Amino acid sequence: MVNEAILDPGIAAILLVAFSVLWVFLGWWWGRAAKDVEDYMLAGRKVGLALGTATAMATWVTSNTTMVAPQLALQMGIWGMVGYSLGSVGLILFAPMARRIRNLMPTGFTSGDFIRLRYGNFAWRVFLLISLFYAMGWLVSLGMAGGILIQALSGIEYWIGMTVILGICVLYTLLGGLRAVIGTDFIQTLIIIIGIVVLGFMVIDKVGFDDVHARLTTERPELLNLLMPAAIMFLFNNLLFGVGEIFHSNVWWSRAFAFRPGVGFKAYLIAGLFWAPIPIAAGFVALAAPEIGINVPRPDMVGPLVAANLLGTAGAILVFIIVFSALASSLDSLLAATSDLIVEDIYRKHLRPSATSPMLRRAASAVILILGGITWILCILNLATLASLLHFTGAFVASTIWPIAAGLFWKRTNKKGATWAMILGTVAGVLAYRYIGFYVAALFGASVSMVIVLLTTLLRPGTFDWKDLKEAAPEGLEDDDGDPNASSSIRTSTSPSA
Amino acid sequence: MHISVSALTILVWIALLVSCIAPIALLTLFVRDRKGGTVW
Repeated sequence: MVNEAILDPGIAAILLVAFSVLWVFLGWWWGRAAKDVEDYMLAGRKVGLALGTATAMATWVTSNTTMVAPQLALQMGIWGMVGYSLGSVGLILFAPMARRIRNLMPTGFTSGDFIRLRYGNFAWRVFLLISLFYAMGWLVSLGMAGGILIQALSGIEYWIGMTVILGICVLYTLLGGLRAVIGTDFIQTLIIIIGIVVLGFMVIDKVGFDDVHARLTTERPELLNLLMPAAIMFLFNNLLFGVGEIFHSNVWWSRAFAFRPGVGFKAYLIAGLFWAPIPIAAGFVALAAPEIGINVPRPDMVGPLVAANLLGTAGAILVFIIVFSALASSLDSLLAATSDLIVEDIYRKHLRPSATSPMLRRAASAVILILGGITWILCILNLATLASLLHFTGAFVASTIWPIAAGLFWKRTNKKGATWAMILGTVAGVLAYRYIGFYVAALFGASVSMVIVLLTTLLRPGTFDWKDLKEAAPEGLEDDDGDPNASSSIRTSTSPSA
Repeated sequence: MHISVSALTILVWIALLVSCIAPIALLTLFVRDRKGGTVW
């Protein structure tokens, strides 16, 4: 349990209810347009540039951006927040990949589809393990952040706040699918950016750069040190972690499939450029903590505590709204994309190859509910700090960078090389995490993976045919009564061989 | 080597300026998409 409440529990409850009603209503409203499972999972594959850019931004602005960026600024100083900002590189580098994905796989559904078609079943299953582990790690970190935020600001018990936020996100994602996710993302993006800008200006006004800098120089000079070795390692590690997260995660691939042709490249590029300054603005808020002399019992609470201390109830309300929006915008995306991955790559490909559109739709809903339930249980356990939890997954995801990037652009990369790159890269990353520190896990994972991909591609080049990525679209998908559905663009594929 | 107060100031101001432009750009894109019928 944390300090005394900064925000009156009554006000917190009102904000929680008001925004929850808004998101659920919008989720239901936009979800009415989803006629079949492809509408539900990929919003009809026609999302335009405005919504596309906003959803890429909003999904990448997580509560971690608003809570862990300040934490890292307080632990690693300037490079902590700039390092976090390099997470934008992943979005920017994904821009040409999004275009390539849409061109190569016009009827694709998931990142798993690509790995399966490009590298075969064994690599696909290794990839699914990595991807699902990361997805659960991210979901749990988001759920925990919700509970921590509400408790820190209002004193409402951790498990209540966490349950409410998780429950609301599950509900409106369930009701509306990807349309609900993307539509709410647009609104949430505006709230987040405007809120952080207002917060940043208010901190400058109340404290000022000179006082912040002077206090840090006296009490925490290491935070201003541009040559802090651990911080520099963290900077590169975070860059690779971010790239690994985005390159492999179905959250971004599903958007690449959902965007209108020609939108993906621009959307991801603009989103990356607009996302980059947000961790810097959020991190700067934390650097004011030594100057104002507040007690920070948990490092991931420094952002909300500084805002509330400096700005009173208004600051606490503002932070509450920003972080709730950031949480919701990422939770919904992750729930939807992870559900897609499980429904398409596990349910349909492994269990029910002849599943009809309504069956898939029902499965998607059930999986969202189950994911929410598992996340809730893991959040109740209240594991390590958000940063350490998330960075542990970096050991895994960074190993997928080279197999995916090379796999999309280089026909010589072979399946064995890609598979071993993922396996050994993950092992190297986990060992580095365990024996050196979190700030090198992704660095080691990506490096080992890169060497293996490059060596195997050069020594045993393959001859992949890009046409193999275009699976045949079905002639018509039947409903439960055996009648053809309106949509005929859902792919069929054979079950994987053992 | 420590970051100077002016460098810190410039860094944060640039971040805030870009963050001010972002919502305006998103709304402009939305209006354009709406006019073209390409929102989704």
